Amino acid sequence: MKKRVVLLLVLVLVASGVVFAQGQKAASDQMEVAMVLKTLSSEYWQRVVNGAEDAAKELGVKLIKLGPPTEDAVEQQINMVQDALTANPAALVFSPSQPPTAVGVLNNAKAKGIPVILVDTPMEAGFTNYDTFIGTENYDAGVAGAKAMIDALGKSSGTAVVIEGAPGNPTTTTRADGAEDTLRKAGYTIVARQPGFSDRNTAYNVMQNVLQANKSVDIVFCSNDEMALGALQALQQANVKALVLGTDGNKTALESILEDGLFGTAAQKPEMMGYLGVVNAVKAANGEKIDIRIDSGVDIITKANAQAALDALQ
Amino acid sequence: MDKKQDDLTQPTIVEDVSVEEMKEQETKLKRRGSLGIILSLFVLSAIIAILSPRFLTVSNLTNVLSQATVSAVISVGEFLAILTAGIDLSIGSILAISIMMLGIFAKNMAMNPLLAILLALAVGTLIGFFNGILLTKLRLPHPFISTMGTKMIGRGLALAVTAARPISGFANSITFLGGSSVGPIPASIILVAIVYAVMFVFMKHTATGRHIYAVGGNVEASRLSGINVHKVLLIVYSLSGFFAALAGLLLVGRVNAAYPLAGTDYETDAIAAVIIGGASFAGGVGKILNTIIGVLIIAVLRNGLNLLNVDSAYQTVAIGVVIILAVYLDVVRQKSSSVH
Repeated sequence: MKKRVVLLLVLVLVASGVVFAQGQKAASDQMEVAMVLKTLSSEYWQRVVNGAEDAAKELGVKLIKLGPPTEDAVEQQINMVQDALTANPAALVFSPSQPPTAVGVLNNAKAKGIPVILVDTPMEAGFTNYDTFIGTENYDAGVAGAKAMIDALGKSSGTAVVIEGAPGNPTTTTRADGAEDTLRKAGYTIVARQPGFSDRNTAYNVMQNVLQANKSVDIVFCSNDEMALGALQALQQANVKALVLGTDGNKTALESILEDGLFGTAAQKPEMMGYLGVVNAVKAANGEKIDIRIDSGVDIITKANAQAALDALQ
Repeated sequence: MDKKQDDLTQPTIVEDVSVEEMKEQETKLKRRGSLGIILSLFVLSAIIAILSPRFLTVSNLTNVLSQATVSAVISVGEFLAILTAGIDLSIGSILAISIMMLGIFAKNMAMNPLLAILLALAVGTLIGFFNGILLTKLRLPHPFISTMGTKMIGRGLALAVTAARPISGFANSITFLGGSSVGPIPASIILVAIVYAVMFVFMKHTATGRHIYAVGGNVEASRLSGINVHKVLLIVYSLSGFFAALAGLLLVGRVNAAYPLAGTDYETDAIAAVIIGGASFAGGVGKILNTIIGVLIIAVLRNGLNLLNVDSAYQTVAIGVVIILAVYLDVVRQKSSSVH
């Protein structure tokens, strides 16, 4: 008997939920932009969110932001896109963790007439009718980072190490390509190019192993700041002096530069990506034409301008 | 059926009494368990429906169900392992290596799709069988350790076989299970219904199914009553591997890609679903149909929190809280039933 009462109560609750829901539907007519990122749980992606929120505030749109707890929760990210699309947002701002897995949901979005704005990481073949891709020219970031170190050393030969992200991650791989090509052209020998999985500890181990085989290294390029800090730690413990440059321009990297740790970082502009993402999402939703490729830019930050960059972050 | 009668003739008198008693208590436990957990799912759905206008739409509910399918299938294997008082930490990795091999068979080697699918399922089943061998023949102390080893081997191989590159662009003949619909109903949901129906019958009406319960309840008693415990465990872990590969097949259909990081941490979700579904970590107690409710509770929770725009960090917290609550409810239930 008691159980039936409880069940009945639940049913009433559900029913009232539906009624309430119907009532709410008409309430808001504010434009809604959905943003699904690789994760929200890291400094870098939080900076993308900050830029996006600034744009949303300026333009008076509602921003829905989602992202799995870690970048490797790929299926969960796809689920989040599906969930976001049920709201029929005016546009979708998206950064794919594993581009091939997102083709289906993005095609669904386009079929529903929802513009797709890609940030940070482009889609590969299979989904080409996105509205724009906003991001760093990753190859250029690698080139610029490597050049800065070569210029600082002033040598036309030497040894270099390149540590990239997870194999298959197009962003970190392309950066490493840019750096490797530049270093080779300048006459440097690449004694090792290995994956550090975008992780500080993994890069630390990689660098330690590299130092077993090579007593001295001149230049270390890393595809993100976390790995650069890991590599730096291994170098310092082995008492090897080398220029280490990361990519991203995160706060911890800037602090390390100021303390004479890292030589520099090829700073992406994540705030700019988030900001431009939302701005162009709104434009696309309003039917305005936008460029298919928007460069969010790179800053090479060394000791000379690290303080300014750090101040800008805070 | 013959086997079943053999077993019935074997137990001694002492065991007969204890089995009867246990069964009585168990059915009590199970009934309460089922109602409690179904009620929890309803209450959770009700709360989310009240908070989000979009939850109770047909498209969203179809969405939640199809999102739950991969987890629903992989959790069947975990359920079996936990039922034998074991655990299988390798299912996420088995999923990954199975689908990478599926990609290699179907795309790189351009095999017949059906053959590729069968081979991929065989890969998963074999790795599961390997887990079983580690446990029974090599007598590794607890499947926690052995399957953790397999988990690392599987993940490493999944990354190695294509140098971590994803394989995408599968033909319809590969993706139909996870990606197509029969009328308005996704094929994956139909597959899950079939899997659970078959497993329900298997657990309830076959000798092997009952032996799995028996082994989980008391290994020694099972051995004495003539059950081939090693065989049962080999079947359980092979099935666990098989279902991991089958879940992988659904995943490949859903996202039309095989990627080596697939299935990362899926074992955690599966264990959570099984425990929320009322299965006991001590083994011997649990119901297959409650496992799907456990899966749905997690899926509804994630979907609801997404609709409500809640940071995923708190989603993880929420699921943790639900697991602890579920186990606590189980403790309370057991206490109250032992008083009677």
